Amino acid sequence: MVRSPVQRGLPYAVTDNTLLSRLVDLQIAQFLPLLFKQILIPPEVKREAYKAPHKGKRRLMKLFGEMTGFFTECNEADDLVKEYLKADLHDGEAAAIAQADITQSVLLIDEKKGYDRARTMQLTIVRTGRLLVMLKEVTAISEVRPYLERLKVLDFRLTTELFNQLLAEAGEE
Amino acid sequence: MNVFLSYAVGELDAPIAARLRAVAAAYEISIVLPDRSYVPNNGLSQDTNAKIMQSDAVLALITRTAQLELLNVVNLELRLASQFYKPIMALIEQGVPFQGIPENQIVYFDRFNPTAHEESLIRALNQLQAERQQWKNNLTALGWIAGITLGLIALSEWIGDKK
Repeated sequence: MVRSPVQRGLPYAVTDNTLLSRLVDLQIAQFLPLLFKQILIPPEVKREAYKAPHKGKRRLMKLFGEMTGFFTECNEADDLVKEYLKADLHDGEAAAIAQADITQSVLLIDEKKGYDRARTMQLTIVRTGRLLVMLKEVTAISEVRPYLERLKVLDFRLTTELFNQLLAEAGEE
Repeated sequence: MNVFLSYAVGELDAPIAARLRAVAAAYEISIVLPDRSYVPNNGLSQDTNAKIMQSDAVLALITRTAQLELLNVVNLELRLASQFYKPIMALIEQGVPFQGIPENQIVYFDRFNPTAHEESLIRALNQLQAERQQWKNNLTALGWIAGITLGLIALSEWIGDKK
């Protein structure tokens, strides 16, 4: 099911567990169909999601249940690419990068090491902050500031510079 | 460092480009790949032109199972790289007739013989070094990438046999 790079409509995305859990915490994961055709979940990411602390795990399972078909478990990946990436990345991150590579999907990931690796591999990457701006652009949310404030509370590393940059991108300076 | 990988390989060797990109990325080297989902009829795409222009070097990989039309594409890509004065090294499987670049830039390899390429690899690296004194660090990286690529081809063959 390798997808053609010439895609019409919304793109596919592959997500890492941490970012998805963060979106669930922010209560905005249900808006993702406005930005993506489908979110692919590698088995490693699903395993990590189901190992999450009790409350987070329940929320994620509920989300997968409510949005079956949109969040889709996907096994596609070149096994060797995945293994090379696992050498110094977590299993979920490695699986998500390998899957985004072979399916030519957008990669949703926040972790710096995984993000840097995917960028060197020239994948299309979107992080939580940018996702918030994109959600505002499609009017799913009216402001990004409250979500950025909430991210700080959730121990998300957000420098003042990035905070202000995202506000500027969202037109909320 | 950005290295454009110009490649013409058969179906079984097709994953090598993505695998090389994943390995090289761990060392902050970007392997820039052309779009091989279609073969251009006349000339190269603007996207390929831009990728070659922005690369620090061009590595070509040609295996025996490559289709003729892809060999022609590699030829065009290498010609363009020459015009942009990019350092070029071509890894060509023994037995493939290819005359796109000077002999001293070609590394002939045999996937069943892990030492067959050594002499021509050293010659090609020396040639690049002689041409570009200021390019020493990148030369080491290019030699290293060439070695990894040949290792991946041998591994691909071994995995294919296992399957």
